[in-house]
Amino acid sequence: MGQLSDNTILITRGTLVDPSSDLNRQTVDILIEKGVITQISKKPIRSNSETVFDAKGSYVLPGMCDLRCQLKDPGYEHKEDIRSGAAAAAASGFTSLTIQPATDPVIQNKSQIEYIKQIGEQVLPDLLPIGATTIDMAGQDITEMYDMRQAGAVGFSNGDNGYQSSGTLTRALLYGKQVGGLIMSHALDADLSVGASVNESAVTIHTGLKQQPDLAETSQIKKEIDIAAYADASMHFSHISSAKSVDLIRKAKKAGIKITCDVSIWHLVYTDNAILSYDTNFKVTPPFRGEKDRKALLKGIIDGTIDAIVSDHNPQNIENKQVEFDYARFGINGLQSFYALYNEALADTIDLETFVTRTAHTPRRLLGLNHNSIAKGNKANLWVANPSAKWSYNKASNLSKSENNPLFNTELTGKCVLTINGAHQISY
Amino acid sequence: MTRLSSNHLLGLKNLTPEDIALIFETADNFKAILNRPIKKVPSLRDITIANVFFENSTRTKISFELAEKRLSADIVNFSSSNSSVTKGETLIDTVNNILSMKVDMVVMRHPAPGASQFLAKHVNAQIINAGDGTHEHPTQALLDAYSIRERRGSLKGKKVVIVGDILHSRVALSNIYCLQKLGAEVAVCGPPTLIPKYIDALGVSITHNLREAIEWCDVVNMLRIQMERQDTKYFPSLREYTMQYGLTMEHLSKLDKEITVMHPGPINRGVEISSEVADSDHSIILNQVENGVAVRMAVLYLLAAQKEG
Repeated sequence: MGQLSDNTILITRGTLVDPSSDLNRQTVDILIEKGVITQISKKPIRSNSETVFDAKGSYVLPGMCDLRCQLKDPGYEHKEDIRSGAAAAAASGFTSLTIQPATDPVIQNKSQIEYIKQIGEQVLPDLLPIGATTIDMAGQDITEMYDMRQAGAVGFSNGDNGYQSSGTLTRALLYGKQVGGLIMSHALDADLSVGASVNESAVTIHTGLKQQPDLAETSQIKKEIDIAAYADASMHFSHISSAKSVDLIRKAKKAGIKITCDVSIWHLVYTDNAILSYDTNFKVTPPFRGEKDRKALLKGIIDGTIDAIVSDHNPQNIENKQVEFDYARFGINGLQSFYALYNEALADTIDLETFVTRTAHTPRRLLGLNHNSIAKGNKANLWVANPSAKWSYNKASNLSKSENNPLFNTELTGKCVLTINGAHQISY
Repeated sequence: MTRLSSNHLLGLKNLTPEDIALIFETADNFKAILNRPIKKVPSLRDITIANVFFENSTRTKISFELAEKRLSADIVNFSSSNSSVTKGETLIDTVNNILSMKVDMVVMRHPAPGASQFLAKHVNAQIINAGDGTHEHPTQALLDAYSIRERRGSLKGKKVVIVGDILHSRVALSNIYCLQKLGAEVAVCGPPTLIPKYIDALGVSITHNLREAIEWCDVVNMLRIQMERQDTKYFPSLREYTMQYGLTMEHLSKLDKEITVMHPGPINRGVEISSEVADSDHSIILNQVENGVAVRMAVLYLLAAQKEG
């Protein structure tokens, strides 16, 4: 891993994957000077650049933007801090990172937004704070959304608590209309999920663990779609998990309701079968559902019903994971293995163009950021992925402070070898 | 076959019918010994067993202790009604502390489903699950099946209905696995709020009507209503529960067939089972308790033999 210091960098012989570019799938050379793409060509570019990065056999892709990520800073820096999380993100091709407000204290005022923005100037990815929608994410009173938005918040979320009060959500959506920013929802009817840690299914019945019906998600999505329609406001469902949710959102979109949504990459790969061994790394919220659900989520990604794929990065220290399943915290450490997981488990189903759209272009559009296509004159916001490079994901390579990832201590195929965000350039 | 297929007893799910047959055969021998004037055998001399109970238990604990003593094992007891987590020490640390004092086997009861599996993965000892939350209670299922076999002969084709709070019951899940492996047909009966939605995936039939269930079955296993496991009200009152699911002589007297009544205990007389039924000839409740010791002796003995082997 190395920080590149040269003002000029030449990437040679990479395969460009950018559905918004005329050069998509062409082998190109790209010249970047002072953080800006100054030349891109199918023909070899001549340059005096000392830094030449040979990308033969690799893809050059627009930098990814993660819509669901917890960095635990402040309050839980033993799990992750903003710098370690940003480093793990950059190492998987993320040049933008939204940060959930589930910290201690909860991110709910402008000074906390500024704290994140300030560190953001020193790390590779653009850090995009998400403020809490309600005070302490308790679901009762809305926060100073306007003030946070002015300070740089790109959206608002109630973390994994969801919105248990319909009145509060309605007011947040209405108020948010003049504030701007994406209002995000973890759709959950908590009353249907008391103490639950796994999907309710014919698979998990063997575990004795308390089950959560998909009804806990779908009944809430139904209600919140109605509320969004009533408020005539935009709203975004984070990490949806069930086939019925995909259907509900597909119908709502057709009806013109301003709904968008994302799915965690993990839910595209795993099902509730994974928890049969009580491996707490698979304890996530929402829980992994059945194979039918996984297939429906994949279909949603392909047909565009689901707008984005997220890492759902939720680092947890070992003390919170190497315990009895019921006592383990929810979450998977999802940033650094993101591309390798796609490459190994999803590349046959989701082509790279769709992957780029769902991880870079659409998330950025939802947040109102500029379109980061790889084109002459644009700021360099890109990464290079080598689909055949093997690497060991272990203590030595781990950039996060936590290890709660089912792929930890395994060999992975597919590696981000270079990430560039303007003046920030790191090769791996 | 003289050996079990596993070094631990974590649940019935992974036991084979051959394992169960071997346990029963071994239990037969121990039962004979228990009826002799000298009940103690030296089989587990020099073996130390820790009974680690993170949840209250009276009969299971006494039963295990007696089984261990009658096999001449050395025993230590650790009880805490709180989980180790609330005391700040992890389960792995608690058990490793005990194991440092040279303990060979751990009998554990714990409120978290999968806790015994978790422990087996992380510590170097043989684990016997004495009940893990709402998951499994394997020795209870074994002694239940053993008691049916004693009273009614082979389990093959027998119809057994389990009545009560199936949702929160570890006895139900272990019993379902065990009885099915032995060829019995299993049904569950209880109010719809206490029957898991996907229970049919276990190959059981479902009824919400006790009378229907009784007419269908050869054996009825009445579960205790465990108010302490219920985080919310699943039925309005015990009174109304008893009206629908309390087993009385009136249910049994009309039947033109032999029926065997079981209960894992402790029984709530007048709630899920009337005194008259509990004390009748149909009941094998006390036989279950007696057989519990012999079956647990068999399990301990066979697991100790695994290690030697």
